[in-house]
Amino acid sequence: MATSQAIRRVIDQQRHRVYTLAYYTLGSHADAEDATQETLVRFWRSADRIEPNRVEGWLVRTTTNVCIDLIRKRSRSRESFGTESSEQSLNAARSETPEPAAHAAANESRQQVDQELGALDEPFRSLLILREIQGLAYSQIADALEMPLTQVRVYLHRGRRMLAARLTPTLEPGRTKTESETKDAQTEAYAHDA
Amino acid sequence: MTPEPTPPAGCDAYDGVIDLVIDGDIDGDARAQFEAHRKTCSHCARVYEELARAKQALASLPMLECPDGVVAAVDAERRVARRTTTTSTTRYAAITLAVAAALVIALMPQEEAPQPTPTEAEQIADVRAALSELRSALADNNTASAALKLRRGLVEPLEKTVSAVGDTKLGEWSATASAMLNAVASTSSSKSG
Repeated sequence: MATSQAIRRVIDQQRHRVYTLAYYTLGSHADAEDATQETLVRFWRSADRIEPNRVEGWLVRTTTNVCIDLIRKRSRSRESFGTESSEQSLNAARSETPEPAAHAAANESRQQVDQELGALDEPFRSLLILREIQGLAYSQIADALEMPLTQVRVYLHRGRRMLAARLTPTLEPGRTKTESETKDAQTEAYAHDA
Repeated sequence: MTPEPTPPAGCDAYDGVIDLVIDGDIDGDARAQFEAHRKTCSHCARVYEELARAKQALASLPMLECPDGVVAAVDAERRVARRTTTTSTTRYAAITLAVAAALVIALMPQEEAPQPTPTEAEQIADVRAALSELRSALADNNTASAALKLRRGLVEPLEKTVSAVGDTKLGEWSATASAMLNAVASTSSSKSG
């Protein structure tokens, strides 16, 4: 049986990861705070039923589901994603501060990536966040999202190409559009699987 | 530079390998084979560079800090939930106890109350008859008659029961019921005029 202290310890350890996933998925600090709060409250309620070695995966899965529910409720369009200033958002990061000029350039680059990441559809966006920002292994992602490993690889590979196409507009723009046409079915299918 | 809509023949085999190379999940001969191909294929070289750049760009996005206010909000929500659960539990326990107490009193009055005297037994029979008459009066929608039957058939016998059994539980119940019925009878009388 999970004690209050043990649960609180997990929350302290995992809240930044949960928040990071929520922010990059939703593109808004306010939404990310709501999603993080909902996720952690659910964790409090369910902690007794979660095996200790499955906590991280449970948190990833729940955060993703909460974010998808929030997206559906608020009917976020691609254009409305990431309405907050990315610069302001990224200032919340724990990072060293290089020289001003380099810092400004790096920030601008991060803003663009943040924006383009936000424009991707689920599950590509979440999978890229988990893999590339949070550094989870393919198997960890598959376990957390209860998705076959091969499916994780396929989605990640495609998500990476979509993002690359957005960051490099000259790369096969027609292909990106084709993948966008199937986004709703893929997002719905993913949501049901999750 | 004009993008190539489809990869050149022979590049299909490397499409999946590129990601494995970028992720560092492949080495040895397989990696060497791809590297050799990349040097001679502009398409695969470009795809590799752009995917590697995308990966690097994502890795530059930092982990964020969750505001302390979020955890405080979680704690607050938990406190409210705990209070609600405690209140519900207390209420449930109180109702259960009240029902149990009522059952005990209902099932065991003869242990506490004295055996009804023939006078009380007759009064109970009178009450039953009065209730039957009252039911008929109400069915006929005869309020005045109902009020009279209420007082004579129920209130007065109950008052007598109170005086007979005194301070017992049955007496207390009878007193309470008598007061309630008296109030109802008075209201009905005043309404019927």
